Amino acid sequence: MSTELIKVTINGQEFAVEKGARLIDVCREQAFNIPSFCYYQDLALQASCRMCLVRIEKMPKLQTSCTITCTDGMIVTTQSAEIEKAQRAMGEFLLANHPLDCPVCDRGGECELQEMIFDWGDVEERFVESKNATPEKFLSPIVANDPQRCILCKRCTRVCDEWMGEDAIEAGNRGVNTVIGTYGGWLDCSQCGNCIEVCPTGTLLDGTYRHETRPWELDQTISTDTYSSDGMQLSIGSRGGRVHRIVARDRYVDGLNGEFLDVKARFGHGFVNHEERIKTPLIRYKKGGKLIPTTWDEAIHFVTNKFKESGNNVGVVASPRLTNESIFTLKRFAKEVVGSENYTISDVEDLAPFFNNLSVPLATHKEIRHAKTILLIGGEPEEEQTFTAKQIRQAVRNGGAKLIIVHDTPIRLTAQASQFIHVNPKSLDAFALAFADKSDKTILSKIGAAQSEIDDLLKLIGESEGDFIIMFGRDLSAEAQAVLANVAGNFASEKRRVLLHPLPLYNNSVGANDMMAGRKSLSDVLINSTALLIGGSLSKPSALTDGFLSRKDFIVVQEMFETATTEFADVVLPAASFAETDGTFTNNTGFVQRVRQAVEPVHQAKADWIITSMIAREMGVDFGYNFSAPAAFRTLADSIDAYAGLRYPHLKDESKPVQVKHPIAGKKDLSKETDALRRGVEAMPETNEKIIGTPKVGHKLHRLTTMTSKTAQFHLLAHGNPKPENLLVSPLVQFNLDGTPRVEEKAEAASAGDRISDVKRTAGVTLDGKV
Amino acid sequence: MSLISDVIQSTKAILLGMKETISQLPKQSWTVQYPDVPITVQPRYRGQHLLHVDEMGKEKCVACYLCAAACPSDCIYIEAETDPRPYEERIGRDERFARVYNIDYGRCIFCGYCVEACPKDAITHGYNFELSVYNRADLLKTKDDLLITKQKQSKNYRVALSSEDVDSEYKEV
Amino acid sequence: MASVAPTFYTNQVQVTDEVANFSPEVVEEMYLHLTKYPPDRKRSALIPLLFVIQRERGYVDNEGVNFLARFLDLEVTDIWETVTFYSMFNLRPVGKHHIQICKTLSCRIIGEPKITEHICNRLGIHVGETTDDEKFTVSLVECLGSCGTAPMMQIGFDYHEDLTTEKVDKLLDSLS
Repeated sequence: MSTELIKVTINGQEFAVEKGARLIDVCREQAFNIPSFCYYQDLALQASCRMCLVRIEKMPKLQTSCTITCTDGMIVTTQSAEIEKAQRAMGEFLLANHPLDCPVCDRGGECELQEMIFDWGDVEERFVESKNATPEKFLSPIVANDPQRCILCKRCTRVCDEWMGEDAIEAGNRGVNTVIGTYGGWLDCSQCGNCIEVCPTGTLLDGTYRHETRPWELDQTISTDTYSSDGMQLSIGSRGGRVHRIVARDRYVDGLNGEFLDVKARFGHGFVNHEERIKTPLIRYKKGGKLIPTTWDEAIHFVTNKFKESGNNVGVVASPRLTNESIFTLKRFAKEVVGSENYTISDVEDLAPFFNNLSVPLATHKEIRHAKTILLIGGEPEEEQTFTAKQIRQAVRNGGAKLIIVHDTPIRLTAQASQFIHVNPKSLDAFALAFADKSDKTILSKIGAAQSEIDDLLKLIGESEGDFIIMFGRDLSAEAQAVLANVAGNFASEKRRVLLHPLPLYNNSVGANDMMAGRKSLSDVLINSTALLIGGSLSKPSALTDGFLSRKDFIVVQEMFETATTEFADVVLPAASFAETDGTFTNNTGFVQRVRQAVEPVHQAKADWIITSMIAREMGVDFGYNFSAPAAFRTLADSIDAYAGLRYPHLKDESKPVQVKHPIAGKKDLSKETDALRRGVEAMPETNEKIIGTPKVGHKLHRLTTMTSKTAQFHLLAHGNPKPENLLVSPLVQFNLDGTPRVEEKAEAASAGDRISDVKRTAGVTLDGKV
Repeated sequence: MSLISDVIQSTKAILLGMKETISQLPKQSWTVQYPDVPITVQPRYRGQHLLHVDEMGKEKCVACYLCAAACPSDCIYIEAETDPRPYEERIGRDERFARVYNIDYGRCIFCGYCVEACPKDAITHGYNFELSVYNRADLLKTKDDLLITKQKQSKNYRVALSSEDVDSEYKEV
Repeated sequence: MASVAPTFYTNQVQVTDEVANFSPEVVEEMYLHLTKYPPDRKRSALIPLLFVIQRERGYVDNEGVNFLARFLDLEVTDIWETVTFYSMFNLRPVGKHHIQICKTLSCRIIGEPKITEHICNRLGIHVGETTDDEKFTVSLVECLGSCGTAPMMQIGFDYHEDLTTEKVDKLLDSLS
């Protein structure tokens, strides 16, 4: 959009607007209320509801303002008797086939149709014909569908296509029989639920929240997603100490992600009130014994005595799912209370190489949406950083950006890519080396790509203007990440701004990296300490299997559920989930965002940082927080440069997130890393076999939450129309066709290495069973 | 004043009073010998709520929460649930029904807004007015106390006919 | 038996992942259709290809849809959308004679309900059903563009116009 201004007259007032602006947006910005159902910012135009009619001079008929681009000298009327008559007539037509069953409809109270008809509807209904009766049904365990309520705005189909790229839901049939549906009647997709979110009526509804309560009965608490590193803003609907649902609806929350959420963020809240939550502190009085419930006083006393015996041999491990406050408090515990340097985070990748060598700033999600060139090296944002993937897709579809993907697997995003360099399996490091060091020709055989492909890539980057964003994640080795983060700056020029975007796995991976600067590696900590304080479970299964934990004298775990780690624990302290604590998460664009307490901690749980400071106080060190999260954050902000000066009030407005200032290192001499990288690349086996076949939608998503799968839905639908509650009391189990829980999924998850990290919670994820 | 005039004055007053009393004796009496004789209440009297059922005995309430939203004293508590069984086996008339429906009569002000709000005519005010209990907690009435099929009706009242004049003291005179 | 609810195909298709096999000649023909359209607009060939599928397999079946989805890089839902929109494609097997009665305004006013009722009564089926001998399928469709000669219907690819119950009787006699 250019910055050129043109003049538009609306209702007699003259406004200067940007050229190319949409008329409906301009009118709404100027507070002229224009009703509309089908219009949705940043989606393809539809103009099917005809509610947004306006009169434009010199045009013969009333025009739909959602399809009109402002032109110079345009004279618009938005309110007149003629327009109102047309809109009221449209309202009447929309209701012609809409059942007036608001009392049983879950959307009642937050329904856009309901609200619009309050303003634009007539009391009398003149249509006496019987309505099209279609039965309610479930499209999947979490998407309930009542086709009769549909007003055919097609927001859902557009969202599915443009945001998710899945095309799983479409409008079938024709004329008055048109219904929103799918082939075969069930939904084969990642179950993101965005169609539910954007639906202006009760056609598509949350099947898990079905008939539970009413929107006005719920307390809406704005918080941050506890699964993906995108830091999506969401609203937790709770009532009576129970989390009922999570939405990102515009009327409740206005975060960086708009109304976008993914399946985990939206539906993965069953763990908060899960019956298997640890209820009280547990002590294992002798090795090999049972965990026995006890009181907080007893547990803290017990822990203190044991830690005093161990002296400074206490190691501290924090999970990257915890809040910044909790991780920072754990670090303070290590440094100030036990005087130990053994502290670390249990992330699947170390982000330090990336952030220590940062040569350009981090990209925000808005910048990704408006970027001109995007280079994705490895990773799979569609499954792990879903919002980033949506922004990439929209940048390509709606913004005309060029997407270049370098990957060993043809992921689904490659359909959008203007260039796809298909490299050999696990040879992304070699590509990083070739990308950083253009002179090196010998490694091409390792990459499995022709020199011309890399030349094309460099040419494309060289010709590009505007923002150029490089994204990469843990498919690259630490050295490769360091080198890439450092050479990114070389591409900057006057017409081109280069930005970096990491793809970490956890909600607070970036924050954990900031909090625990100067940490040791996980294995170092596990080897060097005799006692351990673990906040959240360990993610790496190797650490468990190596028997490190079984050889420790004393292990304290702050956990929500009994996990593989708590099997080794001597004391387990019940921790609070993200919905029960105040705190902050830092997302992959460096935004610090608030996590707010929606419900009281269940049972005897306490926030992780409170537990840690209770132990510290018993051991004689008062952190001075006094159970106040703002105080904890103040201490944190004062001691970490990037967060300097931040306070909770600065983070109050979720629509204006604050970006922390990660120091930009500038050009560094990385010959050591480059050499290490080269050695690693040279050691790679040469192969010509490439991975073919695009992975299915949700193949990682489902492994993370193991909530739904194709077969589970099919199985459910085969038995009529059951409430999917049984599935979602524990969003942990996948089902086979015969209804038995699927076990081999877990084994598969275990073999998938680090993904097991998610199999159990840490400050957020309840996932399934034993390792 | 002498003692005699005092006696005369008092006797006079008593006689005057007794005259009025005796003149009322042959007239119709307004007091009711409750509970031996039932009280007559107006047809629109607002007593304890009734939750209604349809002709098949299914609860009419669909747990839309509108009564709870309309309630000025916030005394209605509902928990909704889905009953996906066919109509014949269901508890309620609709798939959606109230698993919990509580009214706290310690707070209810009998304003009748809930009845106004109900889109399904599922809740009305009944005539039961004997709500006193020994324990304050007993003022919380659950669905079992409120359902028309389960609520115990007092024998101590009768509803006036619509043409009947129950308290017309302001009309007469 | 009067005309009842419109035909909804949703929920009636058993979804499989299997893909149909076609003889080389048929695939050749499909590629021929593909060449008519620009290479980046493969989707445009959907309707001609659906006709091919329907000719080869009798109706647009699941395997055929899966085949097309792969052939044209589409999602099955995209194909479903198109197939259900056009009344000439069938997602379910149809009888030998597919009777499509126009139900749009002109025909509806001038006597489509009577014709439909007559046909349904005669064949003993509802709208959207097929007779037991798999000879006839009756469905109601949107305007067939022959309003001047309403009421009308289409059997197979042939139009039958200015219908009366006698005419319909004669027609059905000649078909069976």
